[in-house]
Amino acid sequence: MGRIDSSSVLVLAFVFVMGALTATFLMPSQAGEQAPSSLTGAMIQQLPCMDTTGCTETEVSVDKTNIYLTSGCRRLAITTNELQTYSISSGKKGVRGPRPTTHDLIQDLMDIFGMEPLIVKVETLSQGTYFAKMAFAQGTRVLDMDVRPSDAVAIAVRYNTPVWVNQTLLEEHGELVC
Amino acid sequence: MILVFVAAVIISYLLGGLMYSKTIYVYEEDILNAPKMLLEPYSMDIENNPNMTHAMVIVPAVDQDGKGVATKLEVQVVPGSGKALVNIDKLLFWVDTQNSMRTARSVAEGVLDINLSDVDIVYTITANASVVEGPSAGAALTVATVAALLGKDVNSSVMITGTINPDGTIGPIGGALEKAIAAKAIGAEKFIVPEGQSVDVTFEQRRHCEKIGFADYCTIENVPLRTDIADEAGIPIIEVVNINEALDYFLLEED
Repeated sequence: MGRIDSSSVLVLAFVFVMGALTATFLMPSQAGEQAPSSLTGAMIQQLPCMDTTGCTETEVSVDKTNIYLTSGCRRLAITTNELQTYSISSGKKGVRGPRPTTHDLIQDLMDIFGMEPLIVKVETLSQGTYFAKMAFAQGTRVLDMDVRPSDAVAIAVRYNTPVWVNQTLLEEHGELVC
Repeated sequence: MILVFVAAVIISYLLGGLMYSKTIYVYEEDILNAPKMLLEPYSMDIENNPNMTHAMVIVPAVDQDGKGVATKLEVQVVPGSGKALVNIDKLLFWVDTQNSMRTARSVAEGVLDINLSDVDIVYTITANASVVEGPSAGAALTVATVAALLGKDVNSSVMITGTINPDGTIGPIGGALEKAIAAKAIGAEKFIVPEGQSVDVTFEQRRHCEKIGFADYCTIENVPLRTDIADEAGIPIIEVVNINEALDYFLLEED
């Protein structure tokens, strides 16, 4: 009784070593220690680019030279050129012309290289020019960049990506439509 | 008998051919008269017209090698019927430049509060180029038009860049710094620019990456870099809002 022979010690040592190896190489590590191949929706929502505080989501429409971002009874008009509005209009309808537009090309590149747009935010107006930011993800890599609103919207409509506008901007520079 | 029949057939054929022919005979006299109307020389002898007044301003431009070059804008005013004429002898013009000329004429008419229906204004640009485009000479064209209408000399030590708007305001242009350097290189002592353009703004792309959770999070921003043009180009820069302010620097008082 109470004696531990050498074979028992070896068995115990074997079990201990195997347990350690399994814990190290085979078992999933605790949360936060092993990098996933891509970000989950919850992880993306934690990123700074996804902070929509003070912003409102808008509907996109265009006429010949304007982009309209509408939320409720407020509509922000952003003047651009016909090439941009054509690209937005065709992208929204999901149709392509005889030759790919620049935004069709960007869409093709993004699809092939596994990128997806996350969000568009029209944030400021400076000296008559609207400034926007757009974020993209590829696996665990995220790029949050300065873009022209017309380019951002043209890409966003091709992926149904939400277009947000700063609420103050919308109220100060948007027109009442209802 | 057969010969008579053959002869009759031939004669009938020839007569029928003449009757139904659609050949149009053009006499030599008509040929000489027809284009003569087109070739009549245009009677307006601008250079020798004793009633002609003119003015000239120099506009700085930058050539393909980035070197400052002088572009000469000349405006001639002659008795006429309200035409705005563009001299395309040496240069061709894009629509935006022609539109600047039209606006310059209209603004000059408003500034001087006169009716230009009895004069023709002829715009001539001399530059080391075959085609001129862009609206950035609009303010200079307006200055020259006003000076020509007044018959006044233009202060050649001052140069200007800026578009002209129909309400007389001067609009923004690109490359203000390069043009200021060019203005100094070709002899200007003061350079007039549109409001807000005495500071040149260029943008520098800045990239920053950090780890946020599992994400490799990168941002790209375009940060404005401001350069004082007067310091950089070594020439006094004057901002103006409208053509009246610009004219104060250009029109020389008579002795």
